[in-house]
Amino acid sequence: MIDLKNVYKIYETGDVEVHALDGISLHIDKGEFVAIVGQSGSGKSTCMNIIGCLDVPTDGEYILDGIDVSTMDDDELSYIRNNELGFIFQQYNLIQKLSVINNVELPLIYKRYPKEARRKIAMEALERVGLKGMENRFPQQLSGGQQQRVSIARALAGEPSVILADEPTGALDSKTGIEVLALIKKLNEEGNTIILVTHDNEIAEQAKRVVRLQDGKIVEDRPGRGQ
Amino acid sequence: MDIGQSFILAVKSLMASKMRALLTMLGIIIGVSAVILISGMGEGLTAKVEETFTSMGSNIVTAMALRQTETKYVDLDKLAEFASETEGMKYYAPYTQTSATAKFGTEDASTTVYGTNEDYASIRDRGIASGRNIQYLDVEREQRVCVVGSHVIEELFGDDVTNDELIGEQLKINGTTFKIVGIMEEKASGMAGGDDDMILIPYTVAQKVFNIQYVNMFYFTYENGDYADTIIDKVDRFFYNIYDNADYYFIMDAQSMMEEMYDMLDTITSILVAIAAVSLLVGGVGIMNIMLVSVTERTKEIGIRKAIGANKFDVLSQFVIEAITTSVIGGTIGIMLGIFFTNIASVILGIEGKVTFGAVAIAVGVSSLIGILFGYMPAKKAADMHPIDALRHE
Repeated sequence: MIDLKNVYKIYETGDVEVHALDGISLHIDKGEFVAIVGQSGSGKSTCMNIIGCLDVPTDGEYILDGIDVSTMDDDELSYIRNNELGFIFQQYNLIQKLSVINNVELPLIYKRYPKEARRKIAMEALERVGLKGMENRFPQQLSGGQQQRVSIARALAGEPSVILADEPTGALDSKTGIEVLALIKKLNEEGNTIILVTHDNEIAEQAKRVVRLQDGKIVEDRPGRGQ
Repeated sequence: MDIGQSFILAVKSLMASKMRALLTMLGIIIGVSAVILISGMGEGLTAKVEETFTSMGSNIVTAMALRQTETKYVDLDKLAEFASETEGMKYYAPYTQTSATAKFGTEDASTTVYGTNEDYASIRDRGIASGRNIQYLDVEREQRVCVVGSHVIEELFGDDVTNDELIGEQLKINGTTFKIVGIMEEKASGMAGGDDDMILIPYTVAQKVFNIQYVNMFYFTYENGDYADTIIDKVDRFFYNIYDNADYYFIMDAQSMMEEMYDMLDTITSILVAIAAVSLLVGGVGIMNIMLVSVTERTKEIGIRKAIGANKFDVLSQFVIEAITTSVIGGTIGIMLGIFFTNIASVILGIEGKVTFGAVAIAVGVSSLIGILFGYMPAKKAADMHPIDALRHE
């Protein structure tokens, strides 16, 4: 499913080269629930950007679902993100002026689905995250937990191969955080491949597999307690 | 993203900040309404000029002798002979023009008296409502008869009498008694100083009564446009033979004057429209400015959209459509205002302004073009944003 082979990401700032990712190789199978954990500056965000096709590696190969995406251009990456990936962000990243249903429909609009199909899929996704009946509200009218559920529904609506969750509980109180995490686990049990990026070891342990990054390198790769 | 969706989104986003939207559109609104108004009034003015020239009668050549002396003057008998012998010449009328006071009993009226011949009415396209026109014999025998315009009749006799009752009545022009033999059909709206405020008398009489030694104005008409050039040429030669100098007389024909007038009006209208169009350009810059602000404000939104799978074209088209929507809505308001102002100006200026389909089509075309032109740059900026940087933007 996901195959990173000796991936480097090098930033040049003046004369200094920063190796954000320093030769990472990682294989993730379909249906896995992997936590990528590490301190700030460990390279986990860079790793997530590359897995999420928001950025391309400086060197190395990235095969996603059989497609080599490491040398793609901007529009090709957009296409891959649209069709293969679902994002759950720490700050939910909903578009405030769009209603809940319109936010969830967004990936389908870019897939050029017709209106009726969009509505149907989006409604199903909202039902799966327990927000049935909220479709015409606006993000500001919802609690943080509810907004995060909307963003999960949006990720689901695109029927992605991989769901990427970047500190999904980071902006939530602990109780709501646990609920959202439970929802993510449930999605994994339903067969979705999930990659969770966090700095929090406790949360990372909820995954079935924990990959620890430090200084741009993988320093640990072991089963989590969620196994 | 489909166009309809983008359009609805664009309208929503405009509605979200109405004041800003209105100010953004203002340049376009002013520009479009100015273009509509000016082109509309230009059309109206051209139509008015055409009407005026047509009422003056077409196919007319006017000649004016500027100075006549005992040795160099226009011999009316020779001129009449010349007119009757020239092929293609239809009517010929010498005329004098004098301001005079007409009197009937205690009523009097200031008016213009034309001393002329029997063809004058035909040349100026004047019908006779009652009685008869001036005749050849009136001129020959210096009969003190007059044909009166409706405005003068109204001034002297009021509304209570019918035209037929007045035929045969006598009135005094500057103290000389004239018999009313005919009354002209009303032509203009009967205003003072207009076409209906006049009296026709035989020119031979006018020369005596007003002490005019030489008749100095002449009308000629030709059968049809084919003769225009030859007639003008021949009239010119007739007068040149008298004076040997083109400075002592003056010849003009309605047709070429009308064409010159049209050209002039066209030029003036074009210049004014061009000036108005500059404000359209300024309006376009206004849209570009606001779109740039909007793109910066919505960096995060752009980041989200790109992360979710929007490609460059999706983002580009979203913002271009927003710019087009802005300018087209502005254009539509501008067209409505333009039509409104044209109607108001028509009433105030007394010129029937005409908003043509062409002007509206150009206004719509130009305003959407401005949307594309000035929306493209900001939209391109949005489309080229890198999703990671855009997402990080707060």
